[in-house]
Amino acid sequence: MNTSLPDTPLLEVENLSTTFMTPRGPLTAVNGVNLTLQKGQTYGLVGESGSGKTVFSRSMLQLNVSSNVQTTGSVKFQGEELLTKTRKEMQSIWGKEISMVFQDPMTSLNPVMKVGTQVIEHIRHHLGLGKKEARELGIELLRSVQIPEPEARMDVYPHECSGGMRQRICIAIALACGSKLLIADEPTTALDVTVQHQILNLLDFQRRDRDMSMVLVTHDLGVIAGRADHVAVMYAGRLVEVADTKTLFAAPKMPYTEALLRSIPRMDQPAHTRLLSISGRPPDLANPPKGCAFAPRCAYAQEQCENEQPPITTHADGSQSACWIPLGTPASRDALQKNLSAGRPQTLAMHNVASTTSEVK
Amino acid sequence: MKFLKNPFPAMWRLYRSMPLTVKLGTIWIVAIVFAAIFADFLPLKDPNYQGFIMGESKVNEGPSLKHLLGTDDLSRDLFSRIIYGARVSLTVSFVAVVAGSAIGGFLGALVGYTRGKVEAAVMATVDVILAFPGLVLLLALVTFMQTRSLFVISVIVGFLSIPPYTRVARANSLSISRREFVLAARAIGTPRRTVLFREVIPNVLPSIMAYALVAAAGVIVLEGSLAFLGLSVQPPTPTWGGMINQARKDIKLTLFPVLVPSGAMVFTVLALNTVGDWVRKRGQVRGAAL
Ligand SMILES: Nc1ncnc2c1ncn2[C@@H]1O[C@H](COP(=O)(O)OP(=O)(O)O)[C@@H](O)[C@H]1O
Ligand SMILES: [Mg+2]
Repeated sequence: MNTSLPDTPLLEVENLSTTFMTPRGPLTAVNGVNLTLQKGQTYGLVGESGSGKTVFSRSMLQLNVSSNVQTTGSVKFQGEELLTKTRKEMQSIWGKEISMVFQDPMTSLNPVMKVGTQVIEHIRHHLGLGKKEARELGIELLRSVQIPEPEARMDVYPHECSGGMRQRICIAIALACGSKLLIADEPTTALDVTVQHQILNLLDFQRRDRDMSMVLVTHDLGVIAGRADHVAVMYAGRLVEVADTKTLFAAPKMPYTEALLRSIPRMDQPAHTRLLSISGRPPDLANPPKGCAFAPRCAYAQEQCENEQPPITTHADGSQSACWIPLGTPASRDALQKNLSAGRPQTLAMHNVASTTSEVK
Repeated sequence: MKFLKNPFPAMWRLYRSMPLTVKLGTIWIVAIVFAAIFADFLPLKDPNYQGFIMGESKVNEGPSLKHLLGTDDLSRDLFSRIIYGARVSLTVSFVAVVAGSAIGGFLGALVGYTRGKVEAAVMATVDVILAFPGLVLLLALVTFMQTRSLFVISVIVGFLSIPPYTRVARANSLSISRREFVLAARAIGTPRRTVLFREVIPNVLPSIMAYALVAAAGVIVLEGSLAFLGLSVQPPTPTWGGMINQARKDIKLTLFPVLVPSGAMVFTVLALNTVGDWVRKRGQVRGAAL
């Protein structure tokens, strides 16, 4: 490993793009993504389903399964380029330097192998321990992710465990070899709400305890709040807004982020408050729109939005967004007014919700 | 493994969980395999002893206590001939299962996981072999052979069994390899070879086993056809197909010597299919639950 300079970011993604060669033509699922993660921090990656979060997190690690995939750009981990590494070289990074936790714990464990065996084999492979030490370490790990009676759990098959239990096992495996970076791809989406919180808190606790960094991928901004230092919002394969978490929640710049924020139920709102659902669907990535990908669903969209791709710009508060008419500017209020009087349905839908929750902003 | 430590309660529980037809099928298979293996130690008549020479029995006799299933046109004991004949059918079909699942199954699982040029080449070869009707190819190969011993027949049938197993294994391996746990194994740095042997193959195995039971039935029919045409293991070794063929000429006098070997074949095929089907369905239910 490089002895990296103290100020080298742990993870530095530059202009990462991933294209699938599909029968319908090239499909760019990730488009020019930049992201910098400092050591010890958590990065939240948010976007609705299909926005390219999974493809992005797998692309960073060369873990895309299909053979028709092409990844360009640069991913530097501790200053070392990952995308040019061979599979052999990646094998000592996967699971040892960088670990992943997947969305569906029901399918991410081998159904025909005992839980303990899966944990032990992984430990032995990376740390070269003997059978007995590996087993003891395995039990210790299961205990550390708060699995009751870890000794007994070692000898059961995955289908004998609940979803939450399985996700804890997956986390234990991910933590086993002292990874410096944990990529959690919607780790709680498949779980019950109560279990979700336990798992998120567990991840957070373990991250601090082991001095790791984390990329927390989710479709739910509510999951990010209070857990991530920075947030990147992804839409149609691009990052449309990047900010530190406080700024993003307090002053979103991109209408998509605002819409996402409005779609989280909040405790400080009256119970009858209507939640905003974003009308329409994300664009077809094989046929991307000419302008901003969100424009067809955006309450503020003007002609320019439909025709020109907005560049990513940095604002005074340090946040970045890709939007022609950033929120909070007079231009954005004018655009909204104009769309309202023109009767643009996307705008009306949002205005209706906004007026019933007039106290929010 | 729990199963190895104390197999009998586990097997009994498995047996209890079977529907009646599957129970009957299992009993039939176990009985005929047991009889074929231990035929020399069972109180059976010599399958080639012609009782009429000493005036002990007549030709084409019906069932009696002396000859449980009667005698054939040379007054040989049909019951004993069925069991010795089972040796040929079962050996050929066993070799076919072993060769098919070991070679074909492994090859299919391998290329389904690794993909690429090797897969294309292997599957093209498989498709070419499968494009010929099985019996025609078998006849062509067998007619080339000087000797038609059990060994030669088994090798040829075993070889021809490889392609369909390869196809089944590859299809399953393709879908297993895309499952998240295989990706998860890769994502924690498991070497490819370990992924193949620990993640992919154990999960492909149940479908190969289910296919093997059904395919074994097919092989029994195939060997029977070969024997019927006089191209399988040569007399005096009894074979089911050979027995049917031999009894054919007296079919106007008595149906019984045809019915006995045919029945043995039909029941065996039926039993294998029933059990195979049950195994496959159980696998599906389990697969869905996982
Ligand atoms: N193997 C593939 N081949 C073609 N398209 C794919 C493939 N994998 C993902 N995609 C496409 O990439 C886009 C992003 O998918 P994904 O990253 O899974 O979204 P998310 O994780 O944000 O829900 C989707 O439109 C999907 O159809
Ligand atoms: Mg996803």
